Amino acid sequence: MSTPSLLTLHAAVSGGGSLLAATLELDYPNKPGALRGVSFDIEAGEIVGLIGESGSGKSSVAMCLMRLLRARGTRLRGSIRFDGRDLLASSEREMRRIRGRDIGLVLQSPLASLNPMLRVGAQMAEAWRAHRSTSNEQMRGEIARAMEMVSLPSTDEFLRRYPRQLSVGLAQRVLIAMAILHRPKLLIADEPTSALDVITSAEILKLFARLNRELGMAILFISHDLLSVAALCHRVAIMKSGELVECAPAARIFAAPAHPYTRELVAALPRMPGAPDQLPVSSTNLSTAIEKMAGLP
Amino acid sequence: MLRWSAVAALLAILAAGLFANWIAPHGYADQDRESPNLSPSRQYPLGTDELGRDRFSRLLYGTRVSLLLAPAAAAISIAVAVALGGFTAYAGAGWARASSLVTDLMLSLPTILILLTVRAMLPLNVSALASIVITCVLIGALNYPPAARVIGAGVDALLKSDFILQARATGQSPGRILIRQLMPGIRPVLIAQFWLLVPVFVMAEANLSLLGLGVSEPMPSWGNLLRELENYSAIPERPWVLAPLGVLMVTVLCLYAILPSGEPA
Amino acid sequence: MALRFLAKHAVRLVLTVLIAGLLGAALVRIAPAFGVSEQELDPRLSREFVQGQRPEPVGILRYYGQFLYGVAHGDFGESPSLQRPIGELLRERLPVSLENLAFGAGAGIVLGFLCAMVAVVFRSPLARAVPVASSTVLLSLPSAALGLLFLLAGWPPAMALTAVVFPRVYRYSAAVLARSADASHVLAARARGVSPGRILCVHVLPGAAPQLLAIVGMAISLGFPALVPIEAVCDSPGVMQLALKAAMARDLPLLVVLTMVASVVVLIGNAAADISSDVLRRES
Repeated sequence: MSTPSLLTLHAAVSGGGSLLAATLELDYPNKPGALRGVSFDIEAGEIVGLIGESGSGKSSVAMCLMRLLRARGTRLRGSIRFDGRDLLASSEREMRRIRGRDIGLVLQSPLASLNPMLRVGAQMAEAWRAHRSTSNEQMRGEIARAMEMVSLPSTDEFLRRYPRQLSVGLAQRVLIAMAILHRPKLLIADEPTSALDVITSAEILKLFARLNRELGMAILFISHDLLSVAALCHRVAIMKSGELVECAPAARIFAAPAHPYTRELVAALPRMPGAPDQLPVSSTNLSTAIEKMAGLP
Repeated sequence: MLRWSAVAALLAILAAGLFANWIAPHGYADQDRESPNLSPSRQYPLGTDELGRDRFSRLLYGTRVSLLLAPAAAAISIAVAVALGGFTAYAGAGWARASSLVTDLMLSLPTILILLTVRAMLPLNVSALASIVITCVLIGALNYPPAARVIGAGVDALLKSDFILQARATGQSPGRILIRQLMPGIRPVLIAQFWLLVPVFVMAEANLSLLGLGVSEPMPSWGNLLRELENYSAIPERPWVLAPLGVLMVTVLCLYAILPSGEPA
Repeated sequence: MALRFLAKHAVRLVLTVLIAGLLGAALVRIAPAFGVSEQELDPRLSREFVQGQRPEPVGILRYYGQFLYGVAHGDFGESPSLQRPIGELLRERLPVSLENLAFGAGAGIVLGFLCAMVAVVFRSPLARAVPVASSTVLLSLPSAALGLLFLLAGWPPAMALTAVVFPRVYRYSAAVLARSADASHVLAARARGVSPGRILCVHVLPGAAPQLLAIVGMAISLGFPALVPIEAVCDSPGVMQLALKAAMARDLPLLVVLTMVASVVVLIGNAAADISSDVLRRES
């Protein structure tokens, strides 16, 4: 963490200790050192972006935090402190209670992440019943509210659809609705926009910004797309081959990238016509553009 | 690492069988009528059978027969499959369909019954060597369909590939394409099929010989040696009769299971 | 639609059996041993007497036609070695073999599926190691040897078939279930905190059901022929024991009928699995 002053400032603003503090060491049997001392924290209500090329280990971070790694011979060490609990010391039973209720996860390919044989409504109901045993009316109300939040119709017609009758964008909204059903404190989104076209992707980005604002939900946004992350996130962490090379507020990543790899990433962005050579887009222009795009104040 | 240990162990066992002439203290048919059913001793490491033959020597010779017969049968299967694959690749569509129909038919019939039927048509009391050849050829030739399926699919995919088209476009002769382009392309498939078939055929030989339709006495093979199971009441008191053979079979077949992937399946 | 599908399978079954029968009949006719019985090797009987007993030589197609006509009227011909009508032998022995198959293969399939499910739900090393080790050992023993071992232990021959079927079913179904459990939507369900039992029943099994049914078909088509050595060594009076006796006595007419019967059982097993897995696939 190169900027302790900013971090403490942020903690002061959000008024509390960090929601999640993790240090991860991960070895796969065929790839030792998949994560090497990846250490970061997320404040309550903060959006942190995690950027890296494919194979850099960013998806592994999501799997580690949820303790969803099941392949044989996988070794995870370090510490994951979430909301006053030590997740690495938790049993599988305790983890199951945390998954979906305290930490939500949205995966990369929306259509593959829905069970093709179950109707949307059945999957929503399953997600609800995994953690709550309430009357059906109450469940329906909660589901309708979650679907409204992601701008989905909660009509019977929609709930009776099968995943194959949904577009990719709708499927992603369904998955997000399921992930926020229990109002988790942290939402992990693993490349939620990479399977979407540009316009849908922009809508989903706006949706994340709104969820963060309205529900005060912290978001770990994993992506390989620096621009969309910059548009959304308060802070950006950059990963390269299993290590966290830089973690700083979004504007600073563009204005003063510290690590050579970050500089390379920024330099590789498409240039606007007539812009100066050094930077692809001037940082002030960029941050206003970002704010407009994400609908931030 | 595991893979190389498996290879080394298999080679050691195979060598013990191959050099049985030198290693074995007795011949496989040498009978010592004076001393049948002996317990293990210095002279007979695993005792003797009911005809006074040295079990240890018979185990070594039997290993040689079983471990050479199975790869030979696998080679026959693959040769038949390759011949069919090459034939269908160059013959007309009608012939190709006919041959795939026959393969399908063979696949849907229970192989062991066909094996019994064909074996029953051939003379039963033949010399030991002839019985080895018959068993090997029958097992190999009648079990060709699974290999033919896989190899045929491989050849089909290769024929449709761009580099074959390229070779044809440059005017190479079909024979040259077959040798230079097709063979290297399907070699991995052939090798994989070979390693898949060998353990299956080791078992097939054991089953057939155990039933008295395979390798004939006095030549020992794993199946013949397993016939000792028939005096099953004596097994618990005399563990040396079958335990070494059982351990050897399980070891060899497990080693074969490890070989292709390099890890325990 | 479904009817056409069924009809297709039925036609395929009948055609395969007919062609197999023709090949068998051809074998019987061209075999050098045809009509050569032990009697002919018996020096006490005169050559004329033995040859007088031989059936008139007829063409293959004619012979086959007569054979089919007989089958249609429930007459499978007579077994030269046992001097009994083959139909009677089948009525006597087929139920024994089918019972062996139903209990043996059924138990093997259930056991294999259960072990595979346990291995997928609890990915503990123990839940994997036990079935993997036992199936490796079982796969390394010829079925005849398994039959004898079970006989030695005093267990029924059907259990030897279980020992033959179980390791194969376990291997394939564990692979199928593991692939199904790797699906993205299963990961997503786990990330929502859904219980393991529900994940198995609602998310993993339905996706794998068509392949699991295909494995059932495989178990039947593999299990029935495996009864040959098992029934032979365990002295279970089924048709498969008869097949070995027929082979030893070079009784080709009986062998051909038995091969056709076994093909029908195997093909029905395969077709049933094919049809049901296709229906399932179509529904989802």
